[in-house]
Amino acid sequence: MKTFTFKLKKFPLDHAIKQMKIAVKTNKPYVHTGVMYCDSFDSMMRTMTASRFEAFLAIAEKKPASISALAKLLNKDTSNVLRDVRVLADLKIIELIEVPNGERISFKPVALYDTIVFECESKAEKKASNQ
Amino acid sequence: MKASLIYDFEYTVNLPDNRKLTVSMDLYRIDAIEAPLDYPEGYKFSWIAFNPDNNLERVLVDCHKGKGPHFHIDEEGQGISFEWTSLDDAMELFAKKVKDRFDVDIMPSLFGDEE
Repeated sequence: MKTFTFKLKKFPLDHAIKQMKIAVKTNKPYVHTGVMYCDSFDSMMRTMTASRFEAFLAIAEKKPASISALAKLLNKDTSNVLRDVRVLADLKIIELIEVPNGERISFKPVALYDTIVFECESKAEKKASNQ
Repeated sequence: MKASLIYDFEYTVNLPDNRKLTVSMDLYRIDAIEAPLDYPEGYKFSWIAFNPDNNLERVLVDCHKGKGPHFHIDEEGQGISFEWTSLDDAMELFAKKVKDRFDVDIMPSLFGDEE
């Protein structure tokens, strides 16, 4: 089972980005695939909103053939669903596969994970795991 | 084409005025370079910063087959190509575009002392 985790952890953004330069220089990968770090609960909830969570579940469970099919499943306006789907794709939780549709191209949303987890470590747990 | 993932990271941060910014960056090293102009120095990358409350506000710097390194601001679909000089310069360009779009410096210490 593949799990995507929203993890509450606060650290300087530039420190994390700097790891790219270090990874290139040292040839030691810095790879946190399947994890979205968030510096607060508010950041977490505003990144993975209820409507995006519903869209993810519908994609994972119902496997709709297109974004308009997903909108029908959710009984929502296609343009609103499209915005949520684009965020999920930007977060690499789903991917959008191009499907030729006559002279147009439509996109099939495909879930890259089975489960989404929201993780928050207490200070006591953090201290114990660091020891 | 064999690609090795060497960097992958995603983070959502609070900005001083209570806006949020989500940054997602990856970097692959391509072993067999079939298209050196599309993947400069053998790098394949996608770096995006967007407002999670309104993902039409976005900066995307990436490269892919048939396109080479380029950037998109907001809904600009075609992308604007840029001349590749180095990975550092591409990262600096990303930081500058994010600064221009969101008025936030995401890499204040990036080009300072190495760790």
